[in-house]
Amino acid sequence: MTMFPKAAALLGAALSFTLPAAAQPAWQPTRPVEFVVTSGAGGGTDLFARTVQAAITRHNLVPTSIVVTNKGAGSGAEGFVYGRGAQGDPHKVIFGTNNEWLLPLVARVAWKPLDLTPVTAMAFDEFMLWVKGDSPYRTGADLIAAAKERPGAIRMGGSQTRDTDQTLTLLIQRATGVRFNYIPFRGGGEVGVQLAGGHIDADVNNPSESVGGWRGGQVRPVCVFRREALPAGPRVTEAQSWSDIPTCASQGIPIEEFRMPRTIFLPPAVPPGAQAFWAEVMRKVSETPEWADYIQRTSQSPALLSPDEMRALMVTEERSARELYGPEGWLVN
Amino acid sequence: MLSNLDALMHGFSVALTLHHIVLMIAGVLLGILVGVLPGLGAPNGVTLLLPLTFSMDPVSAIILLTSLYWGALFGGSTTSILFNIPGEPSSVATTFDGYPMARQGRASEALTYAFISAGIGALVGIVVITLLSSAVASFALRFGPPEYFAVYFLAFASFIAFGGGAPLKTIVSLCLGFGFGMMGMDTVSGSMRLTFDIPELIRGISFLVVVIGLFGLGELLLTIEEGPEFKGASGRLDPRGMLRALASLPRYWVAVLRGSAVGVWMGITPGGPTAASFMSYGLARRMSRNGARFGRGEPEGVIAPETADHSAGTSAMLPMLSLGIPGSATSAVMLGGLMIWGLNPGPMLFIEQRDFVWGMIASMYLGNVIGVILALATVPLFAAMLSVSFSIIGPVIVTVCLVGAYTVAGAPFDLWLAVVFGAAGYLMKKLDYPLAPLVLAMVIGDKAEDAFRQSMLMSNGSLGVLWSNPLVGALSTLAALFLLWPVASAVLGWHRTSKAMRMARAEPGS
Amino acid sequence: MLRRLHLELGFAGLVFLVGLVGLRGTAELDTGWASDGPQAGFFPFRVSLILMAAAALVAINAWRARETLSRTVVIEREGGARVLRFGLPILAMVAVAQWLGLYLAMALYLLFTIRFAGRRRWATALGVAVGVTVVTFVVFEKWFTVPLLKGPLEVMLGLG
Repeated sequence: MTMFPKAAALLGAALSFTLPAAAQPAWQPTRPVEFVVTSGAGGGTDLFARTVQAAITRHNLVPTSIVVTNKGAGSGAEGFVYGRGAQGDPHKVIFGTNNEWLLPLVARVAWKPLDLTPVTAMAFDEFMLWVKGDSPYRTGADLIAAAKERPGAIRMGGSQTRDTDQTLTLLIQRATGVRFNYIPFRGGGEVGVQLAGGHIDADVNNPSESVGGWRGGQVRPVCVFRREALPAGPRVTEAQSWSDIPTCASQGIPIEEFRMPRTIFLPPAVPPGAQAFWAEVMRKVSETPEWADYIQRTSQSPALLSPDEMRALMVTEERSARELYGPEGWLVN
Repeated sequence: MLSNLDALMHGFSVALTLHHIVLMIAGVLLGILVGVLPGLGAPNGVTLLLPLTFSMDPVSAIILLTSLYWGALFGGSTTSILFNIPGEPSSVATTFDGYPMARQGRASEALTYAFISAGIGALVGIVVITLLSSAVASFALRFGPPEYFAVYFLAFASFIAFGGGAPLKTIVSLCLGFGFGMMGMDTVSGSMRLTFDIPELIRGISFLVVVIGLFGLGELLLTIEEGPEFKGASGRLDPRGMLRALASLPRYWVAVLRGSAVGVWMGITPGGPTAASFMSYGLARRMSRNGARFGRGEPEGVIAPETADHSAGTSAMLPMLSLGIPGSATSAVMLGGLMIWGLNPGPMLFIEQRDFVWGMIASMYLGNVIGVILALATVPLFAAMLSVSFSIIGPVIVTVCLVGAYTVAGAPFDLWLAVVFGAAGYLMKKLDYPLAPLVLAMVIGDKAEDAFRQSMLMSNGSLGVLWSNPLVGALSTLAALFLLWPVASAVLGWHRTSKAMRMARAEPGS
Repeated sequence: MLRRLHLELGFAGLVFLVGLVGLRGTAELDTGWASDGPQAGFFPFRVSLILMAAAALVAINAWRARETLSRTVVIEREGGARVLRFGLPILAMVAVAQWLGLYLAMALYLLFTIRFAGRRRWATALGVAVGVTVVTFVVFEKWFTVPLLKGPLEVMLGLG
């Protein structure tokens, strides 16, 4: 949820959830397990899956070996189609984001959101509004004012088309009545560099995608799309830490919350014991120091959704996305 | 610049320990191994080693990983020359003259030219990094979508316009390449293109599968047609060939210099090693006195792409570290590694982590020297493989090709594709369709299209954006001149029968 | 044996067909140049058209030069037979791999081609087949943890 304001209400309950202490699960892997990553090597989902793999290996949480394969083509469609095709095979675990249920809305792909078996969402990645380091825009309101003055002239960069970045841009436009010129690039890192070079005016990167540029003074976060500022942490630049960045709602962009879940799925029709097994493994992973380290380094918010909460999240997000995308003519299904 | 030299000296004091040298040797050896096998590449090697590096200090970790990368770059040339199978995308251009040399029994010579010139190219790249580190980063920042497009356009124009070959068949080859490159999801509109609702086509057609088919399998079919035995590369270990190559290398200093310059340029701008090697090959064919012999086993045709490939590979490390731009799959994985070691790529890295940055730059000097030595040491080993009878080595190469095609995406469908492209490669060679334009169009076609359409989004559909500032204007104009060059020279020299026209006429059916 | 004219015309026809398929693929895309520049189908549409035109011209040129081209032999009977004898087993291996996995298909392919096409002894063929397959398995599955296509046998052995 949390991608859309309407769905956000569910989150509080989700965050406090932990699995009931289950007895020894009925199912165990008997062959090497494949972690299917729906992004290229080095992408956000790749880092997520490899952190989970490292934690599992280090703490011996799974009896067999684990291989990670990258299937990130078509914004991750490749990996989900592959997972869909591995019907009934609980030795394939698919790592993704909310693209599992948003991509089928905007592109003709060969799976439906509820085809795959949801396991959990382990973290939420935050979104921030960024401008160039020496940009005249000090607050969110400055940028909105400039966009009001020159409709369609402010260039907003983002990763991919009809993906989370453009969805957020769309939400900002709806909430403030302005129009941006959205320019899609291949990934968040590329967007950050384009912003540092002044080829675009703003972007909505995740914190970890632009932290290097912020430290070097090339780009600057204006506000965070969150209910409250990020929790206090070590300084990032000489003067500021993440917690010093105000919320966008307080800056004249009335969007309460926008976050991207890091999700885990199994192929369709796996035995229920397998679903429980992997949910339990991921619960243990979420308690390891490797995981805590990853969460802290990438400035994400930890979470642990149950399969049912995942399903609820998918349904509500899909419904709000349909409402949002419909008038834009994005829907293909 | 002087302060950079001081920093470099400091870097050497960090990098030159026995521990680090052992790591370099291990990294280079592993790199050569993954580079030689078409199914594996530097990204596989780096991901394999990444977990090992978590317990190392960052300097040792980056030394290990970058050494592996250098090793893979060297190894990739080996199979290009011996079997016409590019081990890495950036060594496709090396096959054009390297493989014909090997077939003439000059495999050792070709490999020596390749490794030494690659090493020189790499060193030039590192020297540029050392001297210009701060200027390069800010220069790279000036590249937005129009500049990206102009760089791709320039690489493309300089390769195509200077190429020989029948014009119509070149166009067919180009269009096929563009078409295959467009399949899959379109970045700018987000819609699926030319996928015909077939799930296997969602990810598009992989360039590597096409290359393995066209070059690897296609070449095997050509070889087998000529005779039941492998007449190609002479198998004997030939130390004299290596010495001969070493002795005559200085003669090619112009090619080395030109290749390095092209490579550094493409490494710093977003062109990348693959485009660099093509561009360098195209320029060399046009400008060299031996241009007419290109494609038939001309050493300069090996030297030009190899120097450019490696100088681009090394100089691309700078934008990667200072801006966090991953120039290739390998550097994307390395960037992931940096984050895990607790370092953030960005301009502050050069200020806060001097030991790391300069230790790494210093290690690049040594790592590449070690790379050349170890790669040369493997020449006899690989040359010995050629003395195995074709009735055994032929089928083994087939399996290596197919394993390579499968590993690109882990898709059984790609095995069929590789076979289809193998047959296509054989027929196209038979009918004198040039294959290189197809490959080049696949490599840079979709990137160039993305950059072009991003530019159009930014300018609301006006082409003027390609001349909107001196940098992009100069690039676009140069590219346009290159592309128009054949037309212009044909018009100017209408009464003379140019060599190209004679060739075109001699080519039946075009 | 195959005459150059026939091969030229045949291949140009094939390329023309590829262009036609590409054109069909752009049918549902916007092929225009809108206010924000070229749309998704702009380039595919034009590339398909140019491809078809170029293929047609190649064919026309070949037809005009048919006198010479029909005399030129492009693939000799013997050579063509060798190509087929080499190529068809590859096709068979790929078909078998879809069903039994790449390892088994590869071992069988090596065993039979080296034994029958290469006329080597059974021992040699078996040695190469097993050796290459095992080395591939160790390098890919164990060292680099890159999984290759596996079939029922590997699953049975608990390796896949």
